[in-house]
Amino acid sequence: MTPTSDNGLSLREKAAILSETLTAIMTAARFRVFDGKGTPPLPEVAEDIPFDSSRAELTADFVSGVTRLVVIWKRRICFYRSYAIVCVLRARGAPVALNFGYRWEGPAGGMAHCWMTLEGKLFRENQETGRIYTSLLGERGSAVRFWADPDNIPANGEKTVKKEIAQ
Amino acid sequence: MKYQTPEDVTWKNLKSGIVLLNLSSGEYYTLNDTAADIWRHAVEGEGREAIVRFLSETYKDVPAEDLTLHVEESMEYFLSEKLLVASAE
Repeated sequence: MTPTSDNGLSLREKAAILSETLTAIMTAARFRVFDGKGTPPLPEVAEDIPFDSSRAELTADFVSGVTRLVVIWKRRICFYRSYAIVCVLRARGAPVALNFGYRWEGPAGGMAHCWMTLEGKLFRENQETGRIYTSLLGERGSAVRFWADPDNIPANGEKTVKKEIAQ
Repeated sequence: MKYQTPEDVTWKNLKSGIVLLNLSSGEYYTLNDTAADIWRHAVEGEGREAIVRFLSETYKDVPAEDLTLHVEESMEYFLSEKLLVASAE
């Protein structure tokens, strides 16, 4: 019999998820530091593993807890948490997608946010996000989507083109 | 010379302005009114001279040299950011 912990994941599962979460966080951090932009690669959805929504929630809870402990700098925590959960869950058959959104707030810039969707629906995310980032700008495969808040786009800034990094 | 958007660049005309997105880098761009006019014409395949002619009709009180400079600067920026590439045609 495999020993289980209080949240329903076995210790063996937890150890594997912990390792994968740390790898994902390091990959994301290395990508941010050395590449400066873009999105690190995401694993394909493991199609040979049946998707179990309750297991996905348990797994995401555990990954989220690890991320909170490890990502102590808090900046872009939404990106690190979402990226780690998406990596771990896709490897377990869950078709989770990573979403980036940008909201312009004034001439100085705006706010970027990162969240997850599962089969097109918000996953572990405040419903408000779906009301803010309503314009889908583009998709990269089935794994990454880019959104924008269509309101308040600065159209008369001093610069001809204003560039924002979505992370 | 004519221009086109690379495969990893997409753009959308939203209710309060144009937003460009580089899908590879995840960078968003917004355009002011004049740059948006330049962009629309450029992605329709018009060359720089044709764009300047269009702007001259729209912005009649702006000297032609200023419009030419604005088109040149904007196009160079689009090219340098790889939002546009020269069309094979």
